[in-house]
This record gives sequence, C-alpha cells and structure tokens, in this order.
Amino acid sequence: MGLFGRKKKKKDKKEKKAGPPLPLQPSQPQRQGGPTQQPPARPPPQPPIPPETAPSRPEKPPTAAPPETPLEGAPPETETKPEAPEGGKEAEGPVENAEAEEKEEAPAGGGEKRTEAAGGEGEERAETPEEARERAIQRLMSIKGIGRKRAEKLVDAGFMSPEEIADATLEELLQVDGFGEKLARAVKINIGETELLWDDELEEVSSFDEKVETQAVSGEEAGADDEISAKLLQWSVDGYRVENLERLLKEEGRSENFMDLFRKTEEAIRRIEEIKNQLAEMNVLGVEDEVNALVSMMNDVARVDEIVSRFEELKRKMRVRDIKHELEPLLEVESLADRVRGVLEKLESGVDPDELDVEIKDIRREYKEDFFLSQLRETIEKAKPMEVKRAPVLRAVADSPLAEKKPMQVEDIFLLSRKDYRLIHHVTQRKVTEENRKEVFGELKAIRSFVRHNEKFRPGDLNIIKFGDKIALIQDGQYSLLAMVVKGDVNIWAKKLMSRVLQMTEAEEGPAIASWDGDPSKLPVSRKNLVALLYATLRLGEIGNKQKA
Amino acid sequence: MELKDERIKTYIDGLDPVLEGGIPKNFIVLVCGHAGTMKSSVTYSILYNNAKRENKKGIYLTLEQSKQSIIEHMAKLGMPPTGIENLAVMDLARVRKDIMEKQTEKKNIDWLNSIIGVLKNYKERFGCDILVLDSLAALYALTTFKNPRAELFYFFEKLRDLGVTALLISEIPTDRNVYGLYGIEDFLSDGIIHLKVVQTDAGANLYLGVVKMRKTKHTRDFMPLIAESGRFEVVRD
Repeated sequence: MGLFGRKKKKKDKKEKKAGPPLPLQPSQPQRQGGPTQQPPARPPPQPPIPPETAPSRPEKPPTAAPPETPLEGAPPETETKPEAPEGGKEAEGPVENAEAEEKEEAPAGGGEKRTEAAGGEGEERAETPEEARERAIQRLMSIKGIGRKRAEKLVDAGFMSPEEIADATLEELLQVDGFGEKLARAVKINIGETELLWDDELEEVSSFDEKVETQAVSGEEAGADDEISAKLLQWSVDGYRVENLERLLKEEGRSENFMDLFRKTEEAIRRIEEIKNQLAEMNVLGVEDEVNALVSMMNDVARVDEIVSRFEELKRKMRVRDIKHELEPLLEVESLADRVRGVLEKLESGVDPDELDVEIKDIRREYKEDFFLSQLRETIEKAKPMEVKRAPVLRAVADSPLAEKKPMQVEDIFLLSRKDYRLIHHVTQRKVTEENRKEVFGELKAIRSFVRHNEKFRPGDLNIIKFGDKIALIQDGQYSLLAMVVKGDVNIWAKKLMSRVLQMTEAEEGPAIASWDGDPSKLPVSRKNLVALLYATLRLGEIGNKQKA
Repeated sequence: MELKDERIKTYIDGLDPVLEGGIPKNFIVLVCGHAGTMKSSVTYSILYNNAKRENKKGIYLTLEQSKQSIIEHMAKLGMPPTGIENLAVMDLARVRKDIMEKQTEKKNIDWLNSIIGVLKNYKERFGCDILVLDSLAALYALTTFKNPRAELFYFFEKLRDLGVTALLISEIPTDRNVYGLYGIEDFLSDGIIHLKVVQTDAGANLYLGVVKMRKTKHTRDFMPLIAESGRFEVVRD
C-alpha cells in the first residue's frame, strides 16, 4: 500500500489557517485562539470581510465543528472570505476562528495565556488551569473529526494544540484513548499532513474537501453547512456508510432532497449509536453470532429499522437466556419443578418472556420461601440432640435379704384359717392343670406344716420358707394366715402389701372367718382382696422386669 | 457517624406523616393488640405495598396461621400475591409440625438462633428490607427459656444486627395490659404500634396508636383505622 505517499499533494490545508489576526469577538468568549498558527504557507490573500457578513460564514469548513462554538460570533470573516476566492482550499472555519482570536490576543499564539474576551474589552487576566484546558479543547475541536469528547481525550493525553498533534507520530496518537488507526490518520490528514496518507485516501479526502468547499462558496447558509460537513466527516470516520448522502450533496447541494436524507441519516445514526452504547454494556454470551451479525450491519444506516428490530430480538434472546440460566437450577426444587418446566417449555416454544413475567416472579418468590424453609429444616436437623437424664428409680437395697435380683413372680396366694388351717381361698395366675393342682397341694401342705410344726415360725412376722426354686411368704393375722408362693426374688414391697391385705380382710371379715362354716362364698371380701393382691404383685413383677431391662 | 434518616413507608394513608415519613430503617417495632385487631393484615400490607411500589424485599414469618390461610385472607383484602416477587411468606408452623412428627426423641432445638441464622443467609442471598414475625408469643412457645429476659435481650440484639426493619406481632393477653409476655419487649423495641378495637353502639371500631417510636416526634393519639381494598388509612382530626 502506498503509505506515506506524496506530501502535500493537495493544496495545503494549512493555508487558510493562517488568517490575519482578528480582534476577538466579544460575543464568543469560549472560542480560543489556537496557539501557533500553522505556518501560514500562504498568507490568505482574502480581503477582510465586513463584520456584518460574519454571521454567515461563507466557507464550509469541513471540520467537525464543535457545536459549542458558535460560528456566528467568529470574527474572522476576513480570513474565511479569502478562501472562497481561492476556491480549492477547504476552509477550516473553526480553526480560523480560533487563530483569529488568538492572533488578536497574542500573535505568537502561545497556548498558555489568552486574553479574556468577555465583554469585548480584551483585558488580560491570568488563566486558570480549567480555562487553559478548555481553551486547548476548543482549539483541538477545530480539527476536523475532533469533537468535544475526542478533544478532551487528546488534552488528557497531553496534546494541547493542533500543532502538537501535527508533531506527534501516528503511534503517539494511537496511544490516546479511543484513537484507532483510522481516526488517528484522519486527524493527521485533517491537520494538513499528507505523508501518512494512502493514495486512495488522499483522493478521498481531497475530493471531499473540494466538494465541501464548492458548496461553501455558493451557499448562503454556510453556517449550517459547516455543521453538515462536520457531521458527514464524523460519521464516515465513525465508520458509517454515508456515501449516498455525500453523493447527493455533491450532485444537488443542500437541496431539500439532501436535507431530508441528511436528517433521516442523522436520526438513524442517533438510534444506532444508542444501540451501540447499550450493546457495549451487555453480556453477549451465547448470542455471539447474532451480535456479530448485528454489529456487521450497523454501519449501514439505511437498514436502521432492521437493526433496531434485530436488536430487540437480540434483547429478547438474552432475556430468555438469562431466565433459563436462572430457572434451570430450580428444576431441582421438588415443589417448583413442574412449574419451572412449564415456563421453560413455553420459552422454548417462543412465548415472549414478558408474558411469563408474573409466573416467573411467583416462582422466584416461592423459591425464596423454599430456600428459607429448607435451610431452617436443615439447621434444626443438624442441631445436637438434647442430653437425656432420668430420675433415679427406687431399687431394693442390695444387701437386704429381700433384695431382688430377678423379678418376683407370684404363683399362688392362699388364705387359711388361723384356727384350723383350713383353706379359705386360693387365687393363682397359673392355668389350672392336673399337674398344677398337684403342685398347689404340695405347696399348701408345705405351708401348713411349717406353720403348725416348725419352731422357726414367727407369728406376727413375715416368714419366708424356700422349697425348690420357689419361696413361700407367710404372714399371719388374728383370724387367718396369708401365704404367697413366688418365684424369683422377693420384692421389697411384698411384706407391706401382704400385711395391708391381711389387715383389710380381717377388718371386714375377721369374725366371719373365725366362725367360718366352710363355704367360701360367705367370705367374698376376702376373695376380692386376694385377687387385688395378685394383681398388685403382678404389677410389682412387671416393674421389676422393666427395671431389669 | 449518623446514619441518614431513611424511613420505611407504612403506606397506611395518614400514618406516614405522623411518623415523619415512616418507620426509621432497621428499627424493631412491636405491633400489639388483642386478638382480632388486624395486626397480621396491617403488617402484611406494609410488606405488600413496599414490595409492590418500592421493590423492597419483605419476609412474613408465620408461626400462627398457615401460609395458605394468610395468602387467601390477604387476597380477599385486596392484596393478592400474584406477580409480587419480593414478599415471601414462610410458614414456620409447618416446619415445626414436620419436625415434631419426624422427631423420635426430644431434641433441644434452638429455634431462635436457627431462625436468625437462616435469616442471615437468606438476606445475603436474596436481600431483605422488612421482616414481619407473627407472632412473638408463638415464637416463645417454641422455646424453653431458662432465663427469658436475657435470652430475649440477645434475640432482639441479633435481630438488630441483621439490619432489617422488623415488625414483631405481639398479642396482648386479654387479662393483662402489657405489650409483650415478658414485659421487657417494649423497652427492647424501638417502637410500638398499638391496635385496638373500641366497642360502640354501632359496632366495633379499630384504632391505631403510635405508643412509641424512637427518633420520631409523633402524636400518641389513637386514630381510627380504616381498611379498604388492600389499603389502610388512619383518620386524623
């Protein structure tokens, strides 16, 4: 590629910069004079223009005119005019203005100081850093393709004047935030350096310049043209395809037709820029293809409607992606799985996420509830079990003769007459079988003989005799004898229970027992008490069993 | 460092001006009253309107009624939950029942700390601006206090550390005139809103009074409280 082609093939754009120093216009304080002018390659031969003409700048400076700088106020008609006659030159309105101002204050154009133009008095005062910065920005904005933002970036990077930019290498410019190669080169070109141009670009630039210039000469509303040209350049630098517009401008000038297309383009670019900004903030994961397709068509201003609708579609896809990402894990939540599946299916089948909004919100809410409750359950289930300590239970004293080792089981209870040892009642927990009967008689016999003949029998006390694996407990009263045959170990409560039963029985039926005629049915209370004793002792046995367990 | 005086609006018409804009953020407020004084509905409406209008996140912890019955009741009052993402109703009574059934042996469950712990996790994950606890008495029933005053004190402190605005429903026992069962809730809290029913010839009217609200200059008058399709309103003379 023909980089670094001829230098200054085009007529020096610089020429026009070298305008004659003009008095600062009071009306536009914000305009700063550029520092050093470009070396006025050719002093503009233009005749100074009468002030009245000032407002309508005849030239069309193709520069990206900073909107903030009102052109009308520019004093330098003088210089602008000159170019018109020259024809070929493209005029850099703002630059000229700036220069003009600057000249007025300080011909040397040192960037540092400037006269305060306010009030038109042109009195000098010290410049604050902010003002210096602002002035530098304004100066840089006089370069085509440099708007306020870029000018700020340049100033931040240390470039205070167009001259410094002219001196900078392309590489240095590329260091500036937001400066790509294309823009950097465009700026260099606009500033009058042609060395860096490719041939074809040079053509482009020059033809563009010419085009603008021609119109500038003819148009009365050159101020508006300024803006139009600036925008056209800005747009092409930004990569928008505005050839049609440029062609139309060339062919028709600022015809109604052109202006119409221009405004449409302006609006389209505004919309596209908006999309660009939004897109820059988005997570495009998973929709890269769509995004690439969209980005690749974004320079085509004519397709703005399609761009907008594709962008809307893209946003919808992103929403679907986000919702899926959010909902898919919720399939794990049992209580929500069905509903989540339903929503995912609907999304899959192309239902607009907006329509599912309420349902999704409800699912979110219920997920939160589920989260809370399951966490609480978990926390509680993990909690340490409470230590259990039981109250002490009454136990038999270990060394007592009555200490039980095995629970006491009652086999038979007998009530005998104290007088003649006749059997009054017998209750048992055993089945009455032939074999058992024999056993019962054996027990009865043993008890009787102990009571009647054994000297060890102690009346009034609980007598304990052993036979085989059984024990007989015998307690006597005034009229009767109570005997209980048990297995296992004698319960500590046995004596108490037996005494009590005997006492209760004799209290009611004692005399009847004394004069008993042998009919058991005549002593019903005695029998009832015996049964009660049997149950009570059975319960003793149960308790003993439990304690043992 | 003084925090900005941020307030949680009650969205009870007429009450927010009385409270200088609402309940100060992160306050613990007792909402007291005998049975049937709409304590649940009033607190739910605060959560509901904050969720709906300000996207503020709320939790309604119920230990009394089931979630279903609350939701149905509130829908009837004009506060359906549909599409309201930021009002979660947690049915602790249900959890309690499940756990009691599942439990083969008695466990010493530290409900207070468990609830606070889970609230903390929940808040970190989903955020929570306002918490309603329905009710204190039911919470006490879950817990065997060895030293109620000390334990309650710590509970309130932990609640405060959570950094949520808490509305604690406290039913006033019919036989006593205290704001909480242990008699210390009122001074542990930053504010007390008292709801009461006053019998008249024509029927019963509901009144709301702000008994206490720190950092706020408020009237202590009891104001008639009117409920109308999801909105509450206090009437001032």
